[in-house]
Amino acid sequence: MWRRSFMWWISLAAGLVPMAMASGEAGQTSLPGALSPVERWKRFSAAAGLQIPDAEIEVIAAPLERLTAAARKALEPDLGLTEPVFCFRILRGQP
Amino acid sequence: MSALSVAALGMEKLGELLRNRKLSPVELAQAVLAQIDKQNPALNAYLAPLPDLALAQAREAERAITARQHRGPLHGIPISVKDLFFVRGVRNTAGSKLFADFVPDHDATVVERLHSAGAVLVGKTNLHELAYGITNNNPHYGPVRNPWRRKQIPGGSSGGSGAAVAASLCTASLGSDTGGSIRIPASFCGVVGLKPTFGRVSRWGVFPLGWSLDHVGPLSRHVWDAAVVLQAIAGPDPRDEHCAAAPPPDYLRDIGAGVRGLAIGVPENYFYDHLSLDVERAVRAALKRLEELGARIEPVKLPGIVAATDLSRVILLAEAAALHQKNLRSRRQDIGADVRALLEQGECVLATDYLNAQRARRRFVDELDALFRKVSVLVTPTTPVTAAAIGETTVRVDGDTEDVRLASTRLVRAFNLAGVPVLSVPCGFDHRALPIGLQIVGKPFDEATVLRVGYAYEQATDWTHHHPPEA
Repeated sequence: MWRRSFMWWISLAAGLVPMAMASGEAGQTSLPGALSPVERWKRFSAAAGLQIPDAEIEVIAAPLERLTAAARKALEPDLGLTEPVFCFRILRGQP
Repeated sequence: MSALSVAALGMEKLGELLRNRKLSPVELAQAVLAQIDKQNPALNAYLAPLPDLALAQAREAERAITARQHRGPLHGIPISVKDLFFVRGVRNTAGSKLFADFVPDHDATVVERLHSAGAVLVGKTNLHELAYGITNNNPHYGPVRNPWRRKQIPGGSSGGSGAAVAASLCTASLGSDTGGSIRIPASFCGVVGLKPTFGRVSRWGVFPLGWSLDHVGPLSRHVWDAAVVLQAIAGPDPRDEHCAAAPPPDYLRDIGAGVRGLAIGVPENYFYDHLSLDVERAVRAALKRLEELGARIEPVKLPGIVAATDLSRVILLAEAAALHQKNLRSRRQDIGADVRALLEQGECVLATDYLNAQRARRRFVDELDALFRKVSVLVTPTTPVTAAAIGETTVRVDGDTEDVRLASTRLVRAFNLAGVPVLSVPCGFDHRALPIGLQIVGKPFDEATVLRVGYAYEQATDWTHHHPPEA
């Protein structure tokens, strides 16, 4: 029983750690011992059940890194209590 | 008059000839269909010419005009639609193998409205696969070629529409614009392209890409023609809950009012930072021309533009991936490599990033609102470079190498995020004789002013009178 529980925690950690890292600062990718971007996105994809083939992750990892970094920077300002726009009414005072 | 010269006439002149029965809608349709037969094998602008439907509609228009039942400036005019607008009984591929056999059983609202206005539908145009890209190098139906230089892309995703209008294979065309897909082909093909305000034109019966970013609008050779098409397709539609309830104004009423005294905002940051020399020279000359016409040029700043451009990518990646998730899982092999890679990237966007992007979007809309209290329109280049070669993945811009897709979209994307109306008009040619576009951005629901500025510029220059060589 304890072994199954231990294995469950290991597999959970294997999924969650890369997810947390993938959503973190792109600049941390070169830390000693850190996973390569390709490896991190492979783990992210596996943990999220995305079924993206490994070969394709090798293609999209670099643009994903750039996109994540750009999104982090763009979302730096405090949004306070601003509500999201949804597709129904983008513009204030729309007739 | 030759078939090409008839097909190349603008709507104003054609309308006069048709109304006065100096030209029959059937003769006009035949002239345009002859041009499609002749040029389409080289350009691949049309996925499906519709000669039977076109001639039937043209005969109906002829009967009505002969009986003095003229329906207005679109009556008898040859129009095409991008192959993602549903036309009852006609295959709708969306440029994809996934929908190669999809035949809708109803017309899109905008197609219904074109029919009501008496337009003649001559065919459905080629596009980037699923409207998700700007090269129109379609892996399933072949690349669309730019009529000005056939080794170049036409821009996209409404590239078939841009090429068809430029080559006189229709008088106007309907396109869709999620991140520049009307304005980029308008710029690269040397035609006029209008992305109206979000909610101005119904999207019911139009195959989506990004629900909160998709817009529908015309491509045409002249600004007046774009106004006529907008007039026909704009307005409330109970079947599209995003559509605004207010009826559209008369877009032709003040189109010739000129720009004297109008404040034109010219962004000091971002839009003019990184352009090809030819584009910068042409756009600066256009601003000078507008100033000579009496407009007041006001330098302005748009601090949120970089973030808005990046976040519009986050939103589109997530929305398109959600839309196509099942197809990506079950028919991965039927999706082209570039579109598949974008859909896969979209699957990796975090829900929190998507939602925060939609929150930051509100801030950008407010920033633009504040700006439009000071100026009537903004004027920028549409694209920082002219059309790249087919198959090229990078371009040189001002000494740097950039991804073709990012370079082509970086001046247009943010206005999909804001939902404001934007017009692209031709403003010159580069050293290879490839067209350059000028982008005119307006206040929400103020298409009339955007069209007025574009019309004043067009009338003061002769760029829309240039035609590409016959293919």
